[in-house]
Amino acid sequence: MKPQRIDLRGARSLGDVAKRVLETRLSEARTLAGALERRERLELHDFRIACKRLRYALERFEALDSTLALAADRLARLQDELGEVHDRDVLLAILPPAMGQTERRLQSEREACVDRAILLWGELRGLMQAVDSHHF
Amino acid sequence: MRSLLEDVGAVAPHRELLKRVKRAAAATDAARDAAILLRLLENNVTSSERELAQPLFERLREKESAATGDACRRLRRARFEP
Repeated sequence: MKPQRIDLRGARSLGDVAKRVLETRLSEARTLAGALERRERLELHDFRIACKRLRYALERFEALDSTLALAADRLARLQDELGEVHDRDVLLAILPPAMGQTERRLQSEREACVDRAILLWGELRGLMQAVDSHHF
Repeated sequence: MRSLLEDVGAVAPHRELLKRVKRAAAATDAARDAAILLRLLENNVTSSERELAQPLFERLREKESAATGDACRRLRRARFEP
């Protein structure tokens, strides 16, 4: 999924730039977060990429506010879980059909990763609200 | 770096640099993905299905080796000046 273009015209300070970049990347992640409920492969992949972009944006501006570093750290954990989901999805797609036991093991691990990702996203909501209403 | 270039693309477009960064990222991702899939299969295959997995092990080993070699070649040649 292509990243949304960020309109930085008229930005007068680093704080302005941070606010616009974070608002855009946060909005992308929120829009795609429904993937966690539906648990569908491609949707989760897009959500993972949006989380990655948001995390990098948070890390880039964390010197402006320490709460950004905390949110980036939680997001890194979420991204790890979504990465584990993605790796299992890719392997499941190429696994020979006769390998039912291995498939069930991978599928079960995948679902556990999605469950942990749901919890982490829930924890992140509060932090994201703080980022959303923040003035740099 | 890719993320930074995408974030500031509206005011500081570096299309050529972004292309080069994307290509470098794709090459390293391919090498990483192949290595991870191989480890994941090794860790999860049941003993009774190990024999069935041999052709897939072979494919993944070949892919890991080829993708790692390709990433090394590309990165040696890559230039990241704006």
